[in-house]
Amino acid sequence: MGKLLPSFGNAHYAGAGCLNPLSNDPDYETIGIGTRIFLGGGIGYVMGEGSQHNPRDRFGTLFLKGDLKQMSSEFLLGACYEKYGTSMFVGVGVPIPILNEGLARKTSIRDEELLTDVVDYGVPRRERPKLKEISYKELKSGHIDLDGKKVKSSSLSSLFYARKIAEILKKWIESGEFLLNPPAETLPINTLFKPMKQTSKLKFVKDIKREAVICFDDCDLKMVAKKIINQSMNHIVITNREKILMGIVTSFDVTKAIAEDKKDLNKIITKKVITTSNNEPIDVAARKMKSNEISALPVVDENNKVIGIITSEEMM
Amino acid sequence: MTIINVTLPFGVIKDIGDYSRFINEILKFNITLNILKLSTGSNGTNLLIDIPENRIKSITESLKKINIIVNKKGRVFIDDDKCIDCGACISLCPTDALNFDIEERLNFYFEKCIGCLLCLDSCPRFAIEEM
Repeated sequence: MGKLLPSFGNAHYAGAGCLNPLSNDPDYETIGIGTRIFLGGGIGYVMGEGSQHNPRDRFGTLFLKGDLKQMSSEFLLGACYEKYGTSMFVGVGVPIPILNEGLARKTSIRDEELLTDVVDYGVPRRERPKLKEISYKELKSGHIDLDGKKVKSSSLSSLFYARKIAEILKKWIESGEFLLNPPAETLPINTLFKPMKQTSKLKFVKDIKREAVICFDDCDLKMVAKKIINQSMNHIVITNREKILMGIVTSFDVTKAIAEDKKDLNKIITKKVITTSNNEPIDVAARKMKSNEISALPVVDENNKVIGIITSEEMM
Repeated sequence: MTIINVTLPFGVIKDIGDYSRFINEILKFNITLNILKLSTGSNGTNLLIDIPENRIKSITESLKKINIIVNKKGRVFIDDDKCIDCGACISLCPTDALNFDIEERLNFYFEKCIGCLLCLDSCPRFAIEEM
């Protein structure tokens, strides 16, 4: 959700961080079936856990009930995310009575103690690679650090409204219009959220790639020809001294160069190279080969550094 | 590299020669550029270009000489009634023109906006509009 720019251009996070009621009562001692709450400007109730409740990963959800007639348009607003669909902003406030020392300690949680994973949404599959673990403090600072790159981060939910709701709920409780109640049954803390599983194991480029045979861009044609013979590889990847991809030469290119009496390596390199990356599924890589009528793809990292090669032989 | 927004008003580009004249005006500084976005609208053609930071001033000046508008200010405005201060637009802004104040309310700095319009479709409340 939220618009993302290419090549780690920006990052989004959801949740109010240390103001999130489920983070303040992580063992659900006071939240459960029947808990009276603030919902959209009126009074609502917790019915139970939500559909993707995943407490073992500290990702709880709530199933709520409310009265639309009590709600106000300030805390119940329609939303639409481009290329995602319609959604709704709902203001929720959960009162947490400090019943014991443990709860006093848990509700004192701060943003730096709340950790979450950075996930690459550029990878189109269910189990997306996790890039690193990060605290809400870093997320809220506006910038996160990803392999030395400063990436702008911003939220998808309003902290301003979260504070406003907390203030309103506090006022309600102080004036006696809102009564706290114990839940009839607390939320489960040990259930596991099981998404639909992929029945066949997906294979990735990193599983079948092999070491690329590399020549630096300043070596000559004879050297390339030697490497083709010695390593019995049809594809020689040309890089600079930092292993950054510069081009590719096939045995056919070398044969053609000899036939046409060309001696300069630079003139026979294919400079526009179609590449693949570690986390690409092999069927995507195979499609790339087929549609471009080529038989090998160099594997590169984010900085275009060559880390391997896959050829149509391995695909078989 | 920094992003600039270039507006080619109607009438400036009549044929392909005018277009290459404009590109050459940037390329003569011996730089590599990235065209991030090209769009046409009611006010002409808009290009979002990524250029080295130290050349911005000279490129801007030479483009102005051939009647091309660089970084036209105030191409968007934010409808405060619709905005709920969620911040979805903030991380998309290349120039920090969109920001939170200390109260976590959204602030729009008109002077910093280069009119790239990247934020336009990021708003789930349609509170950002093009002028």
